[in-house]
Amino acid sequence: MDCEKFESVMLEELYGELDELTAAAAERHVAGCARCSARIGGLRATRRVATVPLAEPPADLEERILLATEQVRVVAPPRARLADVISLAGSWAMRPQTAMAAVFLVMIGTSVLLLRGKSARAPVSAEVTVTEQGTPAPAPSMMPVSPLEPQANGFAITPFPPAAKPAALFPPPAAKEGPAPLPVAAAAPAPMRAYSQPAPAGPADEQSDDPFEAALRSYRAGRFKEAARAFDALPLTDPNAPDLWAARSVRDGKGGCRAAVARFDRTAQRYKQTAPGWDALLEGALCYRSLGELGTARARLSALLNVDSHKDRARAELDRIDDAQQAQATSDAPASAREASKPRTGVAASAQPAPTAPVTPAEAAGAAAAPNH
Amino acid sequence: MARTASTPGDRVSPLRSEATDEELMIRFQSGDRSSLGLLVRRHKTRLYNFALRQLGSGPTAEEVVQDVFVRVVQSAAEFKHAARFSTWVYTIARNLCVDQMRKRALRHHPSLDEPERGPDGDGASLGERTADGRANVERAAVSVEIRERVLAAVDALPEEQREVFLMREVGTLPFKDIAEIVGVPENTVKSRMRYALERLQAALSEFEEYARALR
Repeated sequence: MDCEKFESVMLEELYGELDELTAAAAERHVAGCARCSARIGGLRATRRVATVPLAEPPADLEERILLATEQVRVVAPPRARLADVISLAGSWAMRPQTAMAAVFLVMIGTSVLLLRGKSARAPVSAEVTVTEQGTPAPAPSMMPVSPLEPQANGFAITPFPPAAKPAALFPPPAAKEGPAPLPVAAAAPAPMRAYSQPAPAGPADEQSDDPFEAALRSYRAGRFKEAARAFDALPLTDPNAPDLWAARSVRDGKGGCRAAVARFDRTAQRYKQTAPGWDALLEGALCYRSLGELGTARARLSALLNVDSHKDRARAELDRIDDAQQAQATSDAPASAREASKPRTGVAASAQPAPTAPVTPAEAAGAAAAPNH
Repeated sequence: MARTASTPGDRVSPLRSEATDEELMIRFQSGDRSSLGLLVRRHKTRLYNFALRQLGSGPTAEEVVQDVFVRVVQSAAEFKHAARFSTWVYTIARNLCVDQMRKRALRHHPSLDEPERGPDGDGASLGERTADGRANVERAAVSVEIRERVLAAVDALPEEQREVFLMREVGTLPFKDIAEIVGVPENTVKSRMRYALERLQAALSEFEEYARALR
């Protein structure tokens, strides 16, 4: 990094808004450049002195504000409220999610009609494997024993024909030939690293000279720093969403979630309403959760509840957060309160809420919300 | 399984108190009126200080903050879940401040010792009510003299630099959001911030050694 480049990022460096790689480069430059070191040192000192002392507003200001807002709500005319309802209904009707839901309903309806027709013509010799209760046997990948061995229940289990790969819960990055999607973590709470296990490399990957593939090889080999650099070097127009992979590399490398969350937020913003954006939103949420910033995690997961491909996972993760918080609240409550408490009530005053992360520039909710404009 | 439960009265469940601003707005839109109280509590001090430093009058700053939340309630149904609440309220606050400044020919510069209207009219001075409430003591201005010089230097900034400086330092808003609020490119915001810091550096240069000693 030269002085000109440092000058352009100096303010972000002053306020800690640089990504890990650029921050490191800036620090190296400052260490070796007396002029830039003096410049940023002076500004840092100025910030320390020029701390604007915060005056306390009058104690009754909050009460006056709430009273004023209450009066506003009381006098809202019925016509205005009706207009609000109509406007809200209209905005919901115009959302892409509504159109998508309609398309899915049509598809499902068509599929049902076609399947009904097909099943009537099913060949007599088709094998049907059932469990003791009469439901289809699970896919072979979930069966712990070799096939054709009698099971405890006395039924011999015949495997299905070679099963297709388990459907990825999260679609791969928006690319014609993107990498295989990461396997989804088990339903039980999984450590962050398990979620990031890459799909096994195929023979074609080893021979590819494509820069993205090369970076992916580094990632799969666990050379996360190298992978992050390689992904960062790719153009943002690359359809494989290299910045999402760069964020994953940072997360899985020494930086961890703390260093990666800003990248996930930026990626979610950049790829709004696309699969990489939703992936970034989800993975960023999981990172925030692992950092204890549950409110921030919750907001991001809530935004995914409107996305068909991600809503189930988002719901599961939200439930996990709720369960963890409920367990924490119960263990913190005094014994008497615990006995009398209903679910999600009776929290002791000593329970300290986790600090909310300052919201990053990425508009988390906007990555999944419909554009109403 | 219900994820949240409304809590009667002023009691706040830790689940709600951990919620982000955007989540609280979503709940308020759904009818949870106590969420608005949390938002007011969270933002009133910084909004008040932003308006106070822009307008130089405590009572006017109080009016501005009150009007901000009245507008929040009036426009609550239009709040897009994609937007950031802080960007929205500071946009409202900035616009209200601009309106006030247009109405006033001269800015009033209250001294720290001038009695201000307290809750019971006891005339507690702004200096007495100024809370050195920063968590990081090393960054706090520890003497009245420094405070007065800092406030005077901030007040002396050109308006466009002052509002950027206040949004960053008082509102703790990222530069990208400030750009959206002010309606200029992000690089312009950063330039204004840099110029503001350089002006303050010149005005407060005699305290620079003191500041370096704070490290």
